[in-house]
Amino acid sequence: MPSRDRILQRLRSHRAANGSPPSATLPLPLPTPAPVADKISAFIAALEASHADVLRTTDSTWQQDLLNHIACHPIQTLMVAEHGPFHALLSSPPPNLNLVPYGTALEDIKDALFHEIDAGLSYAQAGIAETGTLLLKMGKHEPRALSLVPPTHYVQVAASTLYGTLPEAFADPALQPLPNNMVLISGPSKTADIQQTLAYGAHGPKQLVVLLVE
Amino acid sequence: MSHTDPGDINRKFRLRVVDALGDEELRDNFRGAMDFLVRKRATMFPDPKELESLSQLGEAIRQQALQQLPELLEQLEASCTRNGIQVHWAENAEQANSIVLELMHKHDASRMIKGKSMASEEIGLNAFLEHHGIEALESDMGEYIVQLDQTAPSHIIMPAIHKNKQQIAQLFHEKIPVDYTEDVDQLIGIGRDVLRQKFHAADVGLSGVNFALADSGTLCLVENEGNGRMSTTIPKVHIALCGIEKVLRTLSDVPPLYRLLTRSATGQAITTYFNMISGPRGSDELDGPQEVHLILLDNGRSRMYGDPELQATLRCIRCGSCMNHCPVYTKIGGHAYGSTYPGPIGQVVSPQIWGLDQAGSITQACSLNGACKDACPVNIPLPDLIRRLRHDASQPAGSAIPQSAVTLGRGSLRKPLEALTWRVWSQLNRSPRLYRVLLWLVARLRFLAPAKLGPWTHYRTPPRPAQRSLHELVAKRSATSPTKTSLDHA
Repeated sequence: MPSRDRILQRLRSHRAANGSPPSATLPLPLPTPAPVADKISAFIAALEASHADVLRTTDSTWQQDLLNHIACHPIQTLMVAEHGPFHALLSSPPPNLNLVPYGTALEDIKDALFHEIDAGLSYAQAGIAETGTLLLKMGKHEPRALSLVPPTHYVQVAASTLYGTLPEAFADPALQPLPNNMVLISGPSKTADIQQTLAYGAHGPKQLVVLLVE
Repeated sequence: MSHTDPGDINRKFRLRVVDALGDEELRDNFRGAMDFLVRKRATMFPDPKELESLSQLGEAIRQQALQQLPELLEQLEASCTRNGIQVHWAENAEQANSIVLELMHKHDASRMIKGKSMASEEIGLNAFLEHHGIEALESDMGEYIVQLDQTAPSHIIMPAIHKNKQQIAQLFHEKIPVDYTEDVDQLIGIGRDVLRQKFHAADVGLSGVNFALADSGTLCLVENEGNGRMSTTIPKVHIALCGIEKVLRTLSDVPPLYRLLTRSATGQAITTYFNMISGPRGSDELDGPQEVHLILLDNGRSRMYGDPELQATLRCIRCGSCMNHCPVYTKIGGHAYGSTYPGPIGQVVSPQIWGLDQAGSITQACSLNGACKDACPVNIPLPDLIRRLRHDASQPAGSAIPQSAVTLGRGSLRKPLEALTWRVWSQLNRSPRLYRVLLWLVARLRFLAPAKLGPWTHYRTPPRPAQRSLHELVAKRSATSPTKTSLDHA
C-alpha cells in the first residue's frame, strides 16, 4: 500500500475508534477586527509605521511624483513590466533614468535583475487599511521578481481599492480565483534575528515606496 | 550538533541543562529576548476579552479542520494537482528525505536554498543532503547564523536568539570571513550579500508551509525577510515541506489564525510578507518555479491524531509564544532540550514524534505553572499534555489499552524505585493507622534528616519534619477546647 493510503487509513481508523474529534464552539458573535473608519489615513499610518514611504498622488500627477522621488535617491535604473499597466512609460523614457523592461523569462535577465536594477515599479490590485498591506496578484502583467529582487520597490495602489481589514479582503469574491502566486506586502523586507534589533533589507527590497492614487 | 539526534535528547538532557544554567551570557541573552517578546505580545492584545474570543475562534477553526483531516488532505491533493503542484506523501523522516533527494537527482541539482522550515529540521534534511553531496543552505538570517555556527535553532521563530550581536559579529568574522563589526545593519547586509549569490545560483528552493488551503490548493507562507519569497520564486524548482496537520478548509479560515500567529509570535500586527502559492509558473508568466512539489509529512502526526487527549497537539500554529512565556525555557534556553522543538510545545511534540524512550525526559523540565497554556493562541492545554506524557512514560509497559492509542515508548522511563515509592505512599494514605504511626515516628526521628540533599541544599536550607505533625497539633487543640471543632481555629 502506498504511503498516501496508509496515512489516510491511519487517520480514518483512529477517528473511527475514538469518535470524531470534539468540535470547539465558535464564539458568537464572531470576533472580527474593529471596522476602520478612515481607511486612507489608517493605511498611510500603518505603512509609515512599517518604515514604508507613502506618496499621496493622483492619476495625472503620479508619474511626475515618481520621477521626483527617484531624482532624490541614488536610482539610475528602473525596471517596468513590459506587459504590465505601465508599459507606456517604456516608449517615452524620462531623461536621466534608465528604464529596463521586464519582458523575457527570468533566466534571461537574472544577472541584470540581481546586479544592475536599482528599483522596480509594480502595481497592487488592492490595499488593506488596518495593517497597511498591499495585495499583489502575480502574473504576466506583474512578474514575481519585480517586487522582490531590486533594492527599491515602487508600487502603485488606488485609494478606491482599499479594504478595511484582511477578513474583508479575503471575503471579497472578486479576489477569486487565486492566481498562481499572490503576495501580501506590508513594508520593506526586515529582520530582527540579531539580538531583536530591527534591520531593513534582509532579502527583499530595503525601501518600499507606495504611490497612493486618490 | 547540526541537527536533532533524537537518541541524544534523553541521554544528554541533564548534562545540557547543567551546562546551560552555568552559562551566564546565555541566560542573559534568553532573559532579555523573552522579556522583549512577552512585552511586545502584550501590547498587541490590550483587551483580554478580545484575545479570549479570538483564541476561541482560532481553536475552533483548527479543531474543525482536524475533524475533517483525511477528507481535507484528499481535497488539498486534488486541488494542488489541478493547479499543477505535484503532491508526495511521506510517512516518516526517511521517506521525506528520500523524496527530496530523488527530486534533486531528477533535476541534476547540487545546490538547495532553504526558506525557514522547522519540519525540515525535524527530519534532519540538511545533514541528510550533505551526506549525499548536496549543499543545503539556510537563508533565514537566524537559520543562516546557526548553520554557520554548526548548531541548531534554539527557538522555533527566532533561531539565533541564544546569541548576542557580539557573538554573531565574531562568528561572521571567523566563518565568512569579514572584518569584525557589531553594527547590526552591516551584519544583515553581509548576510544579504552572501545569500543573494546563493539565491541566484540555487537549483532548488525548499520552504515550509504555515497553512495549506484545501479548496484552492494554496500554500501560505508567513515571513518578514523575503527569504521565503526568494526560495519559492528564483530557483527553477520549489519543494514545500508540510506537516499533514497544517491543512485548512478555505481562505476565510486564514485571517483569524494569521492574526493570532503574528501577534503571539513577535508582537507584530502583520508580517512583511504573506505568500500564497497556488501553482508553478504559468505558460504566460515570466518567472516563478517551473515545478512546485508538496511533500505531506506524517512523522508521528497520525499517531497524535489517534489519542483523544494528545490530539490537541495538532492544533499548534507554531507561534513560539509558549516558550517565550515559559520560566524554565527562559532559564535553560532552547538547546538544553536537545530537540528541534524546545519549550512547552516541544515537550509535547518531541516525545510523540521520537517516542518517550528517546525524548520523554524533557517533559520533566516543567513546573506545571500554566504560563504556556495562558499564552497559547489556540488554547492547547500544554500542562495537561505534559503531565499526561509523564504519566505514560512511567506506566507499566503493556497495560491494557488499545494498541493504536499507545504513546510511543510508553513505560520506557519507569523507574522501579520511583514506582515502589508511589506504591508505598498510596498504601500509607489508604491506611489511617499505618499513616499515623509513621507520622509519629518521623516527628520523633527528625534529627536523622540529612543536612545535605544534593543540588537542592546548595542554595537552600534542608527541609526538616516538624516536631509535631499537624494531626497531633489539631488533636491536642481539640482536646483542650472540646466545644470547638478543629477547623474553627485554622
